[in-house]
Amino acid sequence: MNTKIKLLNLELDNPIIPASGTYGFGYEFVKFYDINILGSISLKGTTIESRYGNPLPRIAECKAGMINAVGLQNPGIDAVLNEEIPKLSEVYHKWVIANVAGSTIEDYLECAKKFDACDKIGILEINVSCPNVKHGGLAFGQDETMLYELITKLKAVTTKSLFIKLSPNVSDIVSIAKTCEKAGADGLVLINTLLGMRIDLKTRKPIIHNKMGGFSGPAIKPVALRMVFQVYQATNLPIIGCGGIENASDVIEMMLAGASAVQVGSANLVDPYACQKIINDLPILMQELGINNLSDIIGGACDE
Amino acid sequence: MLIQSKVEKIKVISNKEVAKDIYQMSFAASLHAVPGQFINIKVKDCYLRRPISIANIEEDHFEIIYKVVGEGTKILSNYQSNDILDILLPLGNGYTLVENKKVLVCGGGIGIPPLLELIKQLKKYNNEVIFLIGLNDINENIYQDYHPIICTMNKSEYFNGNVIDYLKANHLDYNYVYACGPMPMLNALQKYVTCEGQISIEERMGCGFGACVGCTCKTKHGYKRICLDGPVFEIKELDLDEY
Repeated sequence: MNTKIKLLNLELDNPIIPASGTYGFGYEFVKFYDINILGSISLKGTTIESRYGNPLPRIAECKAGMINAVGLQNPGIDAVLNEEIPKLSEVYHKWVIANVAGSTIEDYLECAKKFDACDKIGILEINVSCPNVKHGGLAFGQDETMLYELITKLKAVTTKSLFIKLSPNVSDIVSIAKTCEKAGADGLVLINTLLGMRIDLKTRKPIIHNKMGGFSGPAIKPVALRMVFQVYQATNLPIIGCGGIENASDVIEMMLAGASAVQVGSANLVDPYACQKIINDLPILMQELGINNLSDIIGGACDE
Repeated sequence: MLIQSKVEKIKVISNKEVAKDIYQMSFAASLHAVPGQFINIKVKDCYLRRPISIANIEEDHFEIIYKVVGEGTKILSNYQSNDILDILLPLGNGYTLVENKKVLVCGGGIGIPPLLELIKQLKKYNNEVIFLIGLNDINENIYQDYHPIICTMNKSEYFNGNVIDYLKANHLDYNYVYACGPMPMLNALQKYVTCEGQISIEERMGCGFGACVGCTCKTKHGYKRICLDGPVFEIKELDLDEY
């Protein structure tokens, strides 16, 4: 069974990538298993300055999922480059995906420039879909003019592949994906969290201090599949599918919809061994389904 | 002491209601953990795990004491002996044990259980322990074996007031404090006591092992994850007015 896949010219041993924000800077999971089995790792969203994020509570539970309003807590790009990535490099020997976030175009550009010099990074994942920050984030992912400008400017300052992580909180994902392609993006990550909320019946107030947050988990898988399916048919960009992936079947399903690789998010929080289990189960399921080369099934559910 | 966290399938020995809505649950596993650490239980039909502190550790089993406060704890209360639960454990830093001190151990409500294992351990290290607890409902006093001084608001033969009222009204002799309980109690205690000590706090958690940073708090020593760097902090380390 061949689980190898390619994202542009970058090879991955398998399509399993822990999603940004659910895996820290990777090394925290070494206590659970050898993380070198992973295809790659998407690092915690990074901004120019260090950020605390939003006040607590930042977490609420839902049926088949959860809401988070962490708000891009991170130590800032210099600490990520000088401390976190070196620490990860000691225990993880493959290239990683850096997740870039910001409030202004200048923030993104400055982050991308700094990451550009880091050999450990294979892909820059541009987070234009964080629902938990007041400025920037999601605003970029919902405004095609701004998004176009951001991507063209990013292309000018970095040689790394740019994957744009899009928000599902839009009326036409295809149109936004096409804008990314036109602007020169190298790939897409679909999808970030859905904006959601919960209310505490005792206090009669939202559970999350920030009132709303990003809804993730198995409940959103059908939305993610649908968006990957639509965008796969409308653009030529490689897609990393993300949203509710919990097991090997979900991986196959997401790849049939058009994903070249997948990201596993909330599942890591519920079961720290989630990615390890998926990687172990994948070849077994491939055999059952008569799949020899995993990359053969990408977009298999789409017409043509 | 940090002991490797892992997911285990663990058998329930018993799960009994010991006061109204308060359950004592016993698990058949030999657990290497320190007082103040917690376990994160996967409960049927709930997406996230339920973090609950460890109340008692014996050679071949351990116990938690929890209150039914919502959907997850309601489902947890329905488990019976011989059921198998998926538990991530042990988690958090736990209390650091002092030696040869006069220790005030102060608890409130459902924050009391982790202090029980703590008291057991403190006594092994030649500490004199004063155990002071606050209960909204005197019927929740399931701690007689630990001989607590009880403060309660509902009229009874016990001290009428909260634990801070008691400390103000009585001159207790102690030079170290441990506490766990509701935030207003911890906040008042932090402002009242002059000696060193440790407090344990509670928060809604995503993962329980530091990955999601869903429960990060601000401390005098920078940002800390309550689940991994806590839940035990130095008493003066946190700005509790922020909560």
